[in-house]
Amino acid sequence: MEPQTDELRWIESAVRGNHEAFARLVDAYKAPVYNLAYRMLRSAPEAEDAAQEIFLRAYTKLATYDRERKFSTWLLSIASNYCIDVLRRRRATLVELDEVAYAVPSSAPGPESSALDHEQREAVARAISQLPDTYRLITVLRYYHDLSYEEIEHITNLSQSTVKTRLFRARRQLEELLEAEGALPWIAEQRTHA
Amino acid sequence: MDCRTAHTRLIGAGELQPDEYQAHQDHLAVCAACRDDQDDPFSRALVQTTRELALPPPDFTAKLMQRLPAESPLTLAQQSAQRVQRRWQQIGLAVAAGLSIAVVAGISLQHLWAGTTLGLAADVVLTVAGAAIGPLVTLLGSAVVVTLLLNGVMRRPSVGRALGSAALAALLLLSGGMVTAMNDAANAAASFAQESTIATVLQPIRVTQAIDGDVASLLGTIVVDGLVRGNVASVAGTVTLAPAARVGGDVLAGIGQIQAAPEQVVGAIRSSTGTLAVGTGWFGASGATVTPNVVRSLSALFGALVTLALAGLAVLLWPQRTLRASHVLPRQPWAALGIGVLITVLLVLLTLPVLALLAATVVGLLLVPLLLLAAHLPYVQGLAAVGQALGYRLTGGATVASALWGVAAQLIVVIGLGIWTPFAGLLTFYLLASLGLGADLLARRLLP
Ligand SMILES: [Zn+2]
Repeated sequence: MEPQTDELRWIESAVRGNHEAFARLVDAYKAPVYNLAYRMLRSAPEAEDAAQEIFLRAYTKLATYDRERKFSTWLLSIASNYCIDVLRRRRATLVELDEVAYAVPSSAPGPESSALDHEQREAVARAISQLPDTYRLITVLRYYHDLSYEEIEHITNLSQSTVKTRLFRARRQLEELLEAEGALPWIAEQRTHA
Repeated sequence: MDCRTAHTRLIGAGELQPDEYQAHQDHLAVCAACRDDQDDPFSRALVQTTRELALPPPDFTAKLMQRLPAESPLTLAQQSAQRVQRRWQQIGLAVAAGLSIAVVAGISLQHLWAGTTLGLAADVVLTVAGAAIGPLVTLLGSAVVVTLLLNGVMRRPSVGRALGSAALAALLLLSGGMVTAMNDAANAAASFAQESTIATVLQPIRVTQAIDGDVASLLGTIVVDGLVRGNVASVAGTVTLAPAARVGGDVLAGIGQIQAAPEQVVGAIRSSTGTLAVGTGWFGASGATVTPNVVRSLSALFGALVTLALAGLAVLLWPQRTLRASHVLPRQPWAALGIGVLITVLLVLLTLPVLALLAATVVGLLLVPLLLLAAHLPYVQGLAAVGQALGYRLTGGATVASALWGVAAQLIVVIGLGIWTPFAGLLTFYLLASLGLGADLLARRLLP
């Protein structure tokens, strides 16, 4: 059976209260949801809490899921809304953002194996974590999640032209941030390869 | 091919077969994001360093399953709908209880203090309240409907939001009531005036004696039951000449009907159209006795209904844009409403002088309906968005069909309220239209 119809079947039974079917959906989507939360909130424990809450919300709202939409898009739009809400609340309680940003990256839980690339990935992840919230969201969706403008548009409710310009500005900011960190030499190297 | 594969191609991973090359080119032809990445050398470095997703701990799913509610999502959705319903029932009960207590308290006070000074004061208050009950019931009823509609498009109806929108509706309706009161005052003044010229905006005029000059009203009806030596002109209002009335000049109505016999008028009788009476009796004109109430209300609402019909068309033509704007509504209802109302006020301020200018000539009068239609076009997409949001409440789905249901619901409410009180129908229409317009603008990021 096709994965698409498999997924629809899981959704159908999950809506009727089949927890096992919902667990299958969670297993299929926990990586993208957790990754989005981790990149947005920049802390592993917070990302785990957030991912749990996002799936709980998805379960509660599952009956309202519109089958004409892509399930991943629907789920990621819940996820990005939740993360933006958390960040807003965090700002309201006046937690120092910089503190959080610098506390994270060394303990990234991803299966980052290759030692050579490790530092580069860390540098980029750190730079992304310093982007403004909305820019960061779009950057994560485009680069970590490989989503098209159209999919990002549906997830964030932004227009395609906004997504496009914000992504462009995000790349320029990232370049500046990496340059300030002295991480640009290898990127220049990348460019000559290109 | 999807963007993920295109990204791996971009960083040169994997062998490239000729057919894969073609697939990549095909994807670039349709995917603006991948084209932009291809054009930006920095993207390559970004793609290369973002290949790995951060993974949740292994016990993630097990932990989650323990926290999952035992009820099915279907049951949860029904329960939350019931909760909302119960909250509204509680609000209704509280209002009913409050009103009954007030009435009982008022009556017992009257009995207790009969004959005393306080009792006399209470008598006065109750008499005034009694006279006010009719308009008050209309006002409260309209406020309840407007409140329900506004809450219908919000994410979670709450007591605070309900009270907020009820206050807003009551305020707007009260201002409408004040316009009506001003009308009556102006009417009374006009009846006894012997001035050379009478001109009003938003106020109907009833001429019962002789006027030496002209009689003109913008957005108000004119009833002549006497002699006017000059011209009689109304823009967006009807002109009615009673059988004994005489007019020495011209009788002119822009987008309004004229009821007059040629022999009553020395000059010409000019009307842009006798049928498209968009603005007739907008503000509860007291010349209402002339036209049957229901007919007058419906003609007043004609423009609103045309706009709503166009909104249905917009749902079919631009479903994506409709959906996007409808997503803004539950998140930023007040911002959308504020922006929309502001633009509506600006539109009215811009349109009225142009209407007055156009109405001065016969050709201009013919252009008036076109101008009115153009002024309503910005609302079409907004009403479609409100329809989508209401449709979601009504049917639980975010489809084109549910949006059409939402548009139909607005139509029914506007017609229903309009038959009851034209002002309430139009107020509701412009509130919904403004709300949607604001949401549409916010969704398109045309505003900061
Ligand atoms: Zn692509």
